[in-house]
Amino acid sequence: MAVDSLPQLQAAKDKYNKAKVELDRKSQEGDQNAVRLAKQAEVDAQYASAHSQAAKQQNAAADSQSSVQALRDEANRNADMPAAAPAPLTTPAPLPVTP
Amino acid sequence: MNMRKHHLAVAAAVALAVSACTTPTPREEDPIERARAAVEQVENLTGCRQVRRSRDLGAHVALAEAEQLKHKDKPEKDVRQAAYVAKRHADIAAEQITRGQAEEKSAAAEAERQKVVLQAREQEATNARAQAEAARAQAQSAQTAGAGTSASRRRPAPTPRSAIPLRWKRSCVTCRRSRPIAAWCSRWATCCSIPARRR
Repeated sequence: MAVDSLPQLQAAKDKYNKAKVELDRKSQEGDQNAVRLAKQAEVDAQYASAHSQAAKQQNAAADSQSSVQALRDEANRNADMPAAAPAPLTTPAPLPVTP
Repeated sequence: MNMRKHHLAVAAAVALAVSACTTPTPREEDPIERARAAVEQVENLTGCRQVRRSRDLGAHVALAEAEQLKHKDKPEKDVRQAAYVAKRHADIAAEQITRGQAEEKSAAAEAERQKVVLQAREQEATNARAQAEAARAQAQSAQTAGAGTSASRRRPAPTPRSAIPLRWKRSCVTCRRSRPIAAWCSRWATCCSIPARRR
């Protein structure tokens, strides 16, 4: 999952934009709100990143497990198959006896 | 009359049950309680202790701050803010633990893959050895059976060149190589005149 597609990251971006708007109000309350929203945006972004990395790692683990399972199945199939018997050796034909 | 009372009692009971189901519990509504629940959930997860230590610390600090703010009757905004941060720290810790578990799974899968490959190679080697052994035994039995029945009619095993006495050899005048006399009995004058494919 791409980080950009995460709703948590979008929430972080929205909060960051709101924080900028609050900061532009040039008031004490606006500053306080901006700080609050910026802090929330920060933890939201960290959460989005952690979530993305966890999802990526989970996908990788699932891929690894399925590939190992396929390999194991292949090995089992090969082990169950009887080993190719050597071609029966034919006794060499005797040479013609010359009188 | 009694029937009407009964209906009213049932309706009241149903209304009470429905309201109990729909009304959020205080634990869900209170941001501090919500954050505490998330922190407890992370604490109960089995995962990387390192991750838990660092992120839990952040979550605990924020949670303690939220509780303190509430205790001091600080503005609701500040309490909610601290609770929100605490919950997010707990969420991040949970994600990091999930990631750590997935990494462990990947590592285990890689180890398993190497084990399977090694086993498959060992199996291949065992099969090859068994085939070679069977072929050798078959050849030996065929040779034994053939020796008893037509020993006199079979072509004798070729004598190695080194075993041919020197007096039965003649050196080629052109290339000075010694060759068995039998080769000289053919129509070829010298060994070097024998076409390469006939040698």
